[in-house]
Amino acid sequence: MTVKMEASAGKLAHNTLLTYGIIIAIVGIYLTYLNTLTGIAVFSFFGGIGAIAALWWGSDTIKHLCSYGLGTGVPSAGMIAFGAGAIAMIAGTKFGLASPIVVLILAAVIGAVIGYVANNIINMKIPVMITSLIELAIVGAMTMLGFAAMCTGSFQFNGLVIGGMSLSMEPAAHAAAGGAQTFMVTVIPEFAGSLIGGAALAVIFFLGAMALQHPFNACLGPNEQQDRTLMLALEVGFLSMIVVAVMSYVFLDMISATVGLAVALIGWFYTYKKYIELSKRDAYAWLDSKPILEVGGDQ
Amino acid sequence: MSALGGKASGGEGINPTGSVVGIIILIVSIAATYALGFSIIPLIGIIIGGALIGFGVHFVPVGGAPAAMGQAPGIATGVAMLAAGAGLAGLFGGAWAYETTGGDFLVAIVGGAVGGGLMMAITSLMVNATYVFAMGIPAASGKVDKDPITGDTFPEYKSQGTEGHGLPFISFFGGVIGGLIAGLGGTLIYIELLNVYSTGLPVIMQADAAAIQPLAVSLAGIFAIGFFLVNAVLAAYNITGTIEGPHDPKFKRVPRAIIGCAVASAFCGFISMLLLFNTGM
Repeated sequence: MTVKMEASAGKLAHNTLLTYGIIIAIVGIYLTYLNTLTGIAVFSFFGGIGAIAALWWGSDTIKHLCSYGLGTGVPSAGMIAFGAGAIAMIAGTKFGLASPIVVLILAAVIGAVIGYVANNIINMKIPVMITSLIELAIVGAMTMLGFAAMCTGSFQFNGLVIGGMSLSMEPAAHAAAGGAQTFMVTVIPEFAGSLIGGAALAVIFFLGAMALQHPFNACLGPNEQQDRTLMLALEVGFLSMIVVAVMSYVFLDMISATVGLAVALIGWFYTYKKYIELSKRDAYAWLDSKPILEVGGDQ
Repeated sequence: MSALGGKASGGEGINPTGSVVGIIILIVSIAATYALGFSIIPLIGIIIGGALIGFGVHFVPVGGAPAAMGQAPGIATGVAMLAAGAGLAGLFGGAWAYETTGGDFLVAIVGGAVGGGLMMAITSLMVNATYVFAMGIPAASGKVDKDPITGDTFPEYKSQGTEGHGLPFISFFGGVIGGLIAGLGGTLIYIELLNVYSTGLPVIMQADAAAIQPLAVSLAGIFAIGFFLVNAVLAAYNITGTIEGPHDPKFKRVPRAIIGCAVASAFCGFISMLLLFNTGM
């Protein structure tokens, strides 16, 4: 037995959001490949833009799923999205240039299985359960891949697990009498200083999960408006992107990381301003706080 | 209680068709793992771990928003949050024990169980201290008249119009048991994945086993968190909101969650094994 609760119909149809979300996420992640083509890493921030597009679409999906009584609160949907997405994202990055597409497909399959389990084995019987969990798993995987690409400049497994290279020099052969000593130089990849090897991916995991679960959780209620919820999704998306940009200073050069940080800060400032405007529009009354009035000495 | 106040869904009983299809997915996942040339023992461990998480979560007394207002018994937060807290505390404890003992399987999973149980015991104790001394409400269950362990009676203490309040002993006990089982399950998944990756990754990446160890630990950890959250949320969906502990009538739904979590873990476990599949890239 499920009761459909009213969530705002909204000006943008869900399928429009879905289409834009997937396309911008995939294109954004692929644009980070310009790093490899041009040799400079300034295009990394496109990964963050792709991740925010996925979050923007995902917060609308969460609205559709959670308008049925799940009984567990909105944040649980964000958690399952990223739990499933993390598995798909890491396993999918093994496929070289095709990685973003493979991640999308793997996430969809995992989401379908989890959706089937929730709907048919656990007997939730919610009409949108399977499609919503497919979408959410894709959102989780795309957000993590986008932020990971922004952080390291690469969406491929080797870029995510190799933090740096160190050279090891060993004498190759006994020096011939009077001859020059020859050395064999081998390049040893260092794994502990990478995004996955250093477990920095766990930070991205929770940054994304919070950004996904927060918008509808904060805006739900009788007066929920789609444009306000989606603006909040963009705002928290950029807020997460700021943290990812700061993390990217470890992996990218100074200029590229600063470009990412600047884009994130400008985006956050703009969306925050917009969100406050929309909140003022929807609020019954808006009272700006004022400093405490100074009471004169003789009163 | 949903966020929007919609009716909680999900009746009692098992859906036979769904469960049979689920078990087929489970068997296909195991067969596919075997067909790709991986050992199926770790996958079985992951499935058992997932089922244990799904089972353990049902013991945890979850009160949700009504509990925060003193209108329902339990800890005042959602299932996913509590289970993640207990499970991750257990996972860290188990991972530390595994590292410190140099790979003692038994000590590690017991360490994980103790970590999860300890986290729930501390949480339950402090929650009850807050209820009794800060909110001034006694512990009383609304689902049963008598505590099955201590024999304390509840109706005299239950306020009218509530489903009970506070955290009775049986709920406290359930919380600790739930933390133990969920922590054990989480650690089991972590150790199985760690063993798979620390032997498999050096081969596929042609690197030194010692150099790759931090990567194996991180990968196993992130995957274990992913598995844990998937299983905990599936169990939460089964509970649909609040549960008082093992004495709650909703506890009878537990077989569904065990089947569901086992199926989901089997499939996710198969995907996590794909990381060791040589794609040549």
